[in-house]
Amino acid sequence: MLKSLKLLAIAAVAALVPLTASAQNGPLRLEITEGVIEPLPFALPQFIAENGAATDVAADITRVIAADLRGTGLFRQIPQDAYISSVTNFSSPVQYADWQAINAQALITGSVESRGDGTIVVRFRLFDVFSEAPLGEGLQFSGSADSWRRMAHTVADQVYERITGETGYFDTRVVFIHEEGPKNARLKRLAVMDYDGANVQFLTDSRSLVLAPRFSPQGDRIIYTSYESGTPRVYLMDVATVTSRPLEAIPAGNMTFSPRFSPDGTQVVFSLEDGGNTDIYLLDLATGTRTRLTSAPSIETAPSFSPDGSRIVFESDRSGTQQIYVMNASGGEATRISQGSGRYGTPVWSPRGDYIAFTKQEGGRFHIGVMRTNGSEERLLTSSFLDEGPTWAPNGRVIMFTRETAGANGAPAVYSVDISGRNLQRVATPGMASDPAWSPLLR
Amino acid sequence: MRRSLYASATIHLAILLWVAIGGNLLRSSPEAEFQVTGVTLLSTAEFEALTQGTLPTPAAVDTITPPEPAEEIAAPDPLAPEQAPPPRARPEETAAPEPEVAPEPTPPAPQAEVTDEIAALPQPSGAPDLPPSDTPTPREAPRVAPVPAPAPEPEVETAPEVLDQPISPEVSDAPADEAPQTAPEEATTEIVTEAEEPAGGPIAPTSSPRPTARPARPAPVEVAEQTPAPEPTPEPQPEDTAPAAEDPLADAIASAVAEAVETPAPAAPSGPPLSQGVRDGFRIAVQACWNVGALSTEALGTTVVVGFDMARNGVPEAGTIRLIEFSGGSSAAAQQAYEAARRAIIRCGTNGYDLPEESYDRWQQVELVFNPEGMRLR
Repeated sequence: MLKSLKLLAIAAVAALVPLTASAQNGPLRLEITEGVIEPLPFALPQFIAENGAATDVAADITRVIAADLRGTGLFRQIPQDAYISSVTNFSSPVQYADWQAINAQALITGSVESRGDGTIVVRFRLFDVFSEAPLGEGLQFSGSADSWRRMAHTVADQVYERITGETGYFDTRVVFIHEEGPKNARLKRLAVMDYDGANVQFLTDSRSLVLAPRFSPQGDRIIYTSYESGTPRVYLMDVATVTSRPLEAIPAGNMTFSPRFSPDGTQVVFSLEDGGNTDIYLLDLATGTRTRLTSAPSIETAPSFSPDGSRIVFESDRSGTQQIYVMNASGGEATRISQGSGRYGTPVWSPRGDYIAFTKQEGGRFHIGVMRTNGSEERLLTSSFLDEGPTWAPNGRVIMFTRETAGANGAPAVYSVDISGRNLQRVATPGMASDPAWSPLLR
Repeated sequence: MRRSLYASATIHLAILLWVAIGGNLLRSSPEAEFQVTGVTLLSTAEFEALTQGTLPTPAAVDTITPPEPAEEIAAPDPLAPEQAPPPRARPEETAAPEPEVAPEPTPPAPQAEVTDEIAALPQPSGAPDLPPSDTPTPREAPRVAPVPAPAPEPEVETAPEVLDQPISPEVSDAPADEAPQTAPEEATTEIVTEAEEPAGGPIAPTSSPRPTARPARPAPVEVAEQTPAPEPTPEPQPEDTAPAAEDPLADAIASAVAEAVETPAPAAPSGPPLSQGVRDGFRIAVQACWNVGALSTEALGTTVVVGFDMARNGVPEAGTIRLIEFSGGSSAAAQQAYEAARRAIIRCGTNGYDLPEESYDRWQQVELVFNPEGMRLR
């Protein structure tokens, strides 16, 4: 015992002496492990109108850029009345001290020039105020004056990317179901809008009930479920021509629903009901070849590909309650990944492949949540009377979903939330909206 | 004669009897105990001093010593008026261009792009209850056609072009006017989602907060400085051949110390070592500006080591800030993490970090390890 104590003492001294002796034989070294989580303050002086015709559009573009950045919850705009410097010339040197004094960490300057042929040119620069250096090179875009909103989104995407390191998601569209009428006689139409709710356009009329639209990976097609023939059936729409057709390779007598494209856009995975049993099938759009992926007496639905196309996540009640499973894209044995209490459904694989978003029902409440692809690190982001149907932004950082209020006059609306659970907000749509599906970046 | 004799005898007898038994019978109370009072002899001078109140109090022998504080606390210095930050080094003075346009027009009030009003759209009877909007700035809703419209074609035609002439980052030396500084945004170190919020209002705490334990007094790190020139130490002998030492434990400790000290090390900086409190203060000052809220998830998984030099007034020299190494992420993620760290170092060091000047040699060069492990999404 005594010997052990001696050895321990020797070891302790031997360990401590080098530490103290070399406590500082070089630069002072410290470890920072706790920071703060707060929106990054940015200054955005109104973009300079290079000529009189560009005055209004310069103001509009500035406003949309600011709204994009603020809407992420990651940035905070410093009010313009706090600015010390005014930017009146796009090429003027930046008065960094003036922007540092108001604690602006990023400065965005820009100009808009209106040309006589109906086009505009937008230029912008981004500066790291406290480092007193530009963040990336200045860029300019040109396009028709009608596309000013997309140009503003593109500038905001660039700012977002340079500061956060994530791909932006502002220059995107969302297909959704626009709803009208009372709850027991609801009219539904397919519609698209900018990610922020602007530029709503309808793709179908309200004669047929439509459900669950999804963009193709290229954004050129939309696949959805329609009751046009009386029973739910999967349709494919060409966005450019706004023409749609049912998937011919699927028997008309069977209910087909919950379709989703494969990552390369050449296949569609969907649910097919046959004789009271619902299973998941894969359809090759080029050849019309249909492959059955599941074969169980339970209900298998809501399939979603992993970004690499190798696996499919879906929901099934084969265990007695609705749970989430993962299988190979060619079918076969499935592994249950949802392990918590309650029911899980509508799983969607993140475009980055790191998370799976889902709907969870537990204790009379609905939640939108995320979990790792093996079911670990489950994290519930929302809680309400009815939340369902998550869809991922193309950068995998933001989720949009449907939230419906309770009661006879309950109505759905589209909400978005960061995957951290922050920045829960409603997307302003011109009426009731549900089943959102995010497009890829439109670049 | 005889009568006189009898009378005398009677009287004497009575007196004897009274003396013998009368005292016990007539005693009314027990004897009072003696009270002994100490008397001190005073000299004339002492008496005069006592009457004048200047006599020194004699030291009590058994006085109770008040408990000494566990640790001596230096009296806080009175708060000195905050020193004005030294003027920041600026590049060559450049004449600030005169504004070409007189005062910037007041920006128009932001207009909502889309309205949330259901009434804007034709609604059948039974208007539904939309959930309350959480969006502070509702957008204006464009009127939509009742018939399907074709999707817009991509309108941006050209790919982004790099500007031909990047602007040189020169800064003019125009003095900055006093301006109202915007209040810092509320920050948090923890993300609470809607699902994690308590259902009702705020809940009373279940226990009262207790002050944190006082950090242990930093042990003086003086070994390196106070250790004299290493003396030759005998090589450790194998156990089987080593002669029995008088105190093997002491020898072993001495050997370990000597080995450690003998290890060649770079020249140790001079000046008193930094106490743990100073180190903690420096660390806290930096992390107060380390904003990871806008970092990508990959950057939040990247640890970066950032080195820089500091001026004697505690202000980091921005030009020396550099990324030394990183781990846990890609180069792009490391770049984002590095930029956030650089912003933190510069922003919170604008007025100089509170570091003892006498130890400047010890903090002239700094390496900070920014480890976001505790800030990642879970």
